[in-house]
Amino acid sequence: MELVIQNLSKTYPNGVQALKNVNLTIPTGMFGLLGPNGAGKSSLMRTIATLQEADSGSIRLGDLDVFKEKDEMRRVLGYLPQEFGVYPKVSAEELLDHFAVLKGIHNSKERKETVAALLQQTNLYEVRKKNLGGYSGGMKQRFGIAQALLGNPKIIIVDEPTAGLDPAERNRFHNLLSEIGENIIVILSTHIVDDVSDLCRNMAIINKGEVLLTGEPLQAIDEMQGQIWRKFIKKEELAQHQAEHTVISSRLYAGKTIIHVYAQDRPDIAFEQVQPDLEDVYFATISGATKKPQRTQAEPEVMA
Amino acid sequence: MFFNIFLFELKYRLKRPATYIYFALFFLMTVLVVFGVAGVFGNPIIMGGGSSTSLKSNSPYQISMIITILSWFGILVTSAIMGNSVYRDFEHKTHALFFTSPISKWGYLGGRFWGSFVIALLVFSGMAFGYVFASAVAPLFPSVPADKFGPFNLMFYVMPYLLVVIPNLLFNGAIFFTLGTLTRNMLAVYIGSVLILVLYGVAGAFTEELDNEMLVSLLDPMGASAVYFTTRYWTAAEQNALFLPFSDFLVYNRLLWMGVGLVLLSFCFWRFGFSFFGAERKVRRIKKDNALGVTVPQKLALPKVGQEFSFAKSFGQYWKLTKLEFKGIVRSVYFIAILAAGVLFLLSAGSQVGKMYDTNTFPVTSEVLNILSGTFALFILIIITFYSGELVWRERDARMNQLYDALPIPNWVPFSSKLTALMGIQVILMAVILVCGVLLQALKGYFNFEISLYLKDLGMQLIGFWLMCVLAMLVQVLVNNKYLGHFIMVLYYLANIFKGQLGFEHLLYSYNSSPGRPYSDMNGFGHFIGPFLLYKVYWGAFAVLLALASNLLWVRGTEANIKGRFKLAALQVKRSSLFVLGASSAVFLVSGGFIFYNTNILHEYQDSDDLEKLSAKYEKTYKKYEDLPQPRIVDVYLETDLYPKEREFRFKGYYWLKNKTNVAIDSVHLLLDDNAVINKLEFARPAKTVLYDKEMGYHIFQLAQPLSPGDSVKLNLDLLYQTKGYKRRSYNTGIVYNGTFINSQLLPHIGYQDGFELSDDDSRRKNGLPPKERMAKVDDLKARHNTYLGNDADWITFETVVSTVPDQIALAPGYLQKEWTKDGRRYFHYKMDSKILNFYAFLSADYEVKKDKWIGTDGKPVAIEVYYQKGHEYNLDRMIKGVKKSLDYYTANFSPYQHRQVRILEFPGYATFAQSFPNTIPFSESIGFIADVDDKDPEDVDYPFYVTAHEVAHQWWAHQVIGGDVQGSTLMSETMSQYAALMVMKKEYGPERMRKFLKHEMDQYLIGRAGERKKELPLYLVENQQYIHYRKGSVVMYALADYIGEDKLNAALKEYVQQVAFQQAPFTNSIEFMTYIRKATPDSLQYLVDDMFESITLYENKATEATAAKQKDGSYKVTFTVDAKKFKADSLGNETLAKLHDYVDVAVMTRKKIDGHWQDVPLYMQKQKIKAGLNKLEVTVKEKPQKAGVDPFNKLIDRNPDDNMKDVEVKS
Repeated sequence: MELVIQNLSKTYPNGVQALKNVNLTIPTGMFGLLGPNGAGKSSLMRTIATLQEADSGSIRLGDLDVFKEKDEMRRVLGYLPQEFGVYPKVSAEELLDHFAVLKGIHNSKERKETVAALLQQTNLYEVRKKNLGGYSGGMKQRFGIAQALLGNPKIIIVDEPTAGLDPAERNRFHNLLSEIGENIIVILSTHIVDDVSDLCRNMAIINKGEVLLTGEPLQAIDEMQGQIWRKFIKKEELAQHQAEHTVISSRLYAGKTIIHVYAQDRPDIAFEQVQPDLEDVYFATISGATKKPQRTQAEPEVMA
Repeated sequence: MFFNIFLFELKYRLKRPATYIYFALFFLMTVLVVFGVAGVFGNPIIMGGGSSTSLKSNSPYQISMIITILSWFGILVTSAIMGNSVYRDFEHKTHALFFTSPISKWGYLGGRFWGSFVIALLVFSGMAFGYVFASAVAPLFPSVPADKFGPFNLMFYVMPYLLVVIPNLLFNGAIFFTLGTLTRNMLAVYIGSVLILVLYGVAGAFTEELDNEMLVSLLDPMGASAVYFTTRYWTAAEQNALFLPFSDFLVYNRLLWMGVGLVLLSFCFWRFGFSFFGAERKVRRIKKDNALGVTVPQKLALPKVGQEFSFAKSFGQYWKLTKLEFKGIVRSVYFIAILAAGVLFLLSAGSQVGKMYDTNTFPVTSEVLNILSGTFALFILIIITFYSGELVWRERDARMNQLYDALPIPNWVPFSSKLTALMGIQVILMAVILVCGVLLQALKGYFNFEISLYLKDLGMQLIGFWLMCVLAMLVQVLVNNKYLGHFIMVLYYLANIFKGQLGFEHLLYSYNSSPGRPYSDMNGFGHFIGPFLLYKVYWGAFAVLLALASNLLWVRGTEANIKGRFKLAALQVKRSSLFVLGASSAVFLVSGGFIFYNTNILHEYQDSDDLEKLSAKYEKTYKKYEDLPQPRIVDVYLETDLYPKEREFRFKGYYWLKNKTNVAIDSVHLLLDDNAVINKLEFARPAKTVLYDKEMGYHIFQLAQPLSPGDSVKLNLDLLYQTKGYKRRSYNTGIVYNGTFINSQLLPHIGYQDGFELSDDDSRRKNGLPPKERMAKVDDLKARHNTYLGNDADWITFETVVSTVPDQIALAPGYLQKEWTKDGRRYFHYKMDSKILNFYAFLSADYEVKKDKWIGTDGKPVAIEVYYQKGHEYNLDRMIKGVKKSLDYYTANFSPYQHRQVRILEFPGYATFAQSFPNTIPFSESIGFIADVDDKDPEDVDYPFYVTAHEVAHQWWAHQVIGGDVQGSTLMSETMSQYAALMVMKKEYGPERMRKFLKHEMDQYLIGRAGERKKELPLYLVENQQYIHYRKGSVVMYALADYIGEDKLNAALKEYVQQVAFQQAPFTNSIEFMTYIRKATPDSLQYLVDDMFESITLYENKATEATAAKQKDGSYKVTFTVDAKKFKADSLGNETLAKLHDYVDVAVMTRKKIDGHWQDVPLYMQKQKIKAGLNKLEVTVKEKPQKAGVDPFNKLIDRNPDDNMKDVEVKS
């Protein structure tokens, strides 16, 4: 089963164009949606999750028209929004059971089993009787994934799930996701490149509402082979380099500034070639370097 | 630092649209109200008690009243502004930023508080600006009289702000600010506003107790009672001239509550800390978080589950969600707090069941329900308003909306479950009323719990509250902003209060309206129940439509703008919604059509404007016939058939009309209620109808042969009154299933009736009529040719056969001649053996009868019968005793009783009066039958006894002595009946027990004159003004009897009765009456008659100093000072100082326990001459004195009766 998004566009009443003619085909397995803050990831995710209308375009899950058959879509959907709260005075077990009923699991034995299993899987079983108000950020996030997994969904959408998790939590979360992702569609949106490179078979890079790149991460990295160059510079020299080269990223390393430059050939002798990674692909893509050589600049935040 | 934050707060608020919206709201509300008061929308509305037509709309009194009242509604705005000023940092999570910056606590809190305070004041100033604007614009409307507005005066606006608005803002602001800051929860702020309302209400409940005015005034945090006590006796002239003074009531109240506000603020300052978490919100974190990955199974294996989706399963989800939402509300601490406040309120209000003359009634279920539902409704509306918002926003407030919205539940489930939960809450609230009611009854030792009545009544209320739930939910869904939603609901409640004034009277377009369903123990819910339910079906169907709309517009997902939601709603419409739409529209239209058929087709729909126009047209068309000579009714015979079940009645019989003039009469004018079906209305001699105006029921018959002077003609009539369907609100309560009470008004009147003319000058002007005097001048000889009861008869002979259903007894004036049953009907033949006024009534109910007998000194018996509803036995003995004592006193002091019988007949409490017909006294079930009088309590007034005595007195003072149709005539009926009853009461209970009653009468007189529409008149010129002929009359006559002696006064009255009883035209007037009073009064007291009867006189007596020294012989020498003044007031209340050299009671009192109750007992009381200004007085008494002063029993009219006596400082 595939999720097919065609010509999807959306402009908010305040004039912000969140999605510009988005076309994507998302197969079974983990799919990473990569983009900076405000790129339109959440808008896209919400639209898929039936929470938002589009101005034009369509989304189909197999034979199912998501816009016209919202109820049917919701029956096979697991959704973990970027930001969510919980009722503080209810225990995890109670709330999960409550969600299970709302997901249509009416057989109480089945419901009990699946709730218990999910709490086990998300490692919340021991604290299942505790009120959610006392949960840490990571526990809350795991609760979120547990509710998204209720009822054997065919498509799971998780929006920036690892933001605010410590490395161990994140790790654990990834394991869980990758296991789920074996048989169903899992869409993971993130601005952390490593999440995608670690987990996803397919990915898309999105910025300012536009899909800039789709495909498999490894293939994308391959295509960038030989075009990324690195140089250590002084902080003051950054502006000059940005003027002269297509600087796709700069970061501090041991007190010095390392810049990565996108170029077909070695820009000058001070540059050394580096093996590209997904991060280079990402920065090169969103800075627009791969289309036409130009400088990176701070993008205005798009609130979506 | 403080200043920076203060300025930042100002700037921030000035950028917020809410600030301007609030300002605009105040501005507009004030403009509307001022327009209403000035009469832009038609008849001027009365706001705040000033009802005189000469009251200027921008008089200081009116300004302070309107600003005060509107500022109370501003509590919500205050809470929104002040509660939010620190809270918003928590809401937006900016508190971490502020709390870590180097600002002082004072700078932060102080800056925020005073910044918000200034903004709130600015918002509230919208009222003053609105007022000034409206005062400038309103006079441009043609319907506003030119003299309605006086010149602008800044102080008129400053004073209410200084004394009311600003102190209230400070107090309320402090509460809301503290709540918002310390609890970090906006709902807590709302609870604060509820608590203020409770305090306010509790103080209001205490207002009934006349004695602790200062306490009542102090207890009221909004200062409303203080304003009331300060201004209650202001006459029109004073209302136009005086602005709110720094009275004791106001100053102490304002200081107290501003103080409380400041204490609260210091508490807030002390408790507040720059911590991330609120003090009381420390969440217990779960410490133990499992080591990661240790116990977790490697392979993700979730059990396969089945998902089912069907309507039945969705219904299960709906039910589960409903339970969840319901529990969520019931368990929330705020709900419990509101409820607890409400119960407290219920119990405090309920302790004063059925107060009348400060005397309780028995806590019968209908009374308890009345008082509890009335006071609790406010809390219910608050709960509906707040929790509709909480429910609609629950998921979003918990930021769980995206989780919920993506769940595979049908769209109708979330909305319906929330609505059902809110409706379920109403059931709980009704149950609370029931429990409180039963508890109250039990606490008062009353165990006749009518549970089925509770259930019926509360069930019917429940429907109304359910409808409100639907509306509140719709508003919340539509506006999609919780606070705006609350505000709109409050505006809706307010609009409901004023809709009548704005011309929206028809119930068909007033949501949730019903024609009412008054309950009576006699008649149950009677015929009201059907229309009530029909209206509820009508509005219920409409509510289903509203619910459907709310459901379709329910916000699901992140698309919240209204256009998008309408688009989505259109997509969602399915067959099921179309079915609901169709079905409820059909019910709505059919029931609405049926209502319309009843109110507008079976009956001509007339709102108050139409009725005014009709009255005006009547006057314009037929006034010209006013002076036409007409024959008078001299004999009435009626066969009156009452059909209580069908609510029909029929009069068949005749009048004999006699030409008492000295000219021949060729045409007879008749006026007859236009609802009557005329089977026959014809003269027994040839006559032709020249005019029949159906709209007004005006007939002119021309006699073929004129009726010569002294000649009589028989008018045969056969009239049928049917009840077809029902009218809108006040439909006929005369003929009912059980407890029919109809009177002679429904029979034809002869000649032009000026009683149907418009009397209110504003209405007259609106309809193009000149102003009209209320009554003819006291010496108008022409007017004195009629009694004030009617212009078509003097004394008549009366006979009737009344029939009714077999299980009821039918009654009418006269003596029962015969009773029989025929064809399933029960007949009663009554005949009066002496002449009576043309004033009679017919009653029929399933009565119990209690009989007794009074034997006069001449040995002739008078039969006493009380016809009452079973279960209302409580006060029958008091009533019978009242009749006997009255007959004793009146036959001894006035004249013999003209009848052989006194009958008291209970009628349903749709009206609250008793009325005296010849030998027949209909007596409302609600004014005495269920009174619970404690004979031991000196504060209790035995009002069943008193009302009986008053009505029996009317057999003399109205049915023997009747004044002409001129000013002052009610002095000889109402005032004299009051006097007679007071004397009987005094004789029975002793003078001490009279004080409570007289104090009440004085208070009512003073309040009454403040509410006078036109002009206050001296007692002898009273124009049927109740506060004068009853209230002032009581005080004056009681004092007169005290000054000149009861026996002397009675002797004069006896002489007068002998002179004028049963007289023929011209009828007596008050001038004649006064000559008897004057004759009985010694020269030294003639000034009293001037003061009391012929002018408006007010004293301002005050004891200023009182000390006592113990003498060697054990007695006490009391020295005290009295400051005395006497004023004369004109008809508008302008006062001038009068010469004072009067006899006043000088008294020294002590307190003693009598029958377990403390009472003031005089140690010394003598009338002494008192002069204007300071009087030094000295008295020696035997016992230890407690108080000294003048006029302790308030015989003289004084607006500050409590300062007449001063506590004595005893020096030993």
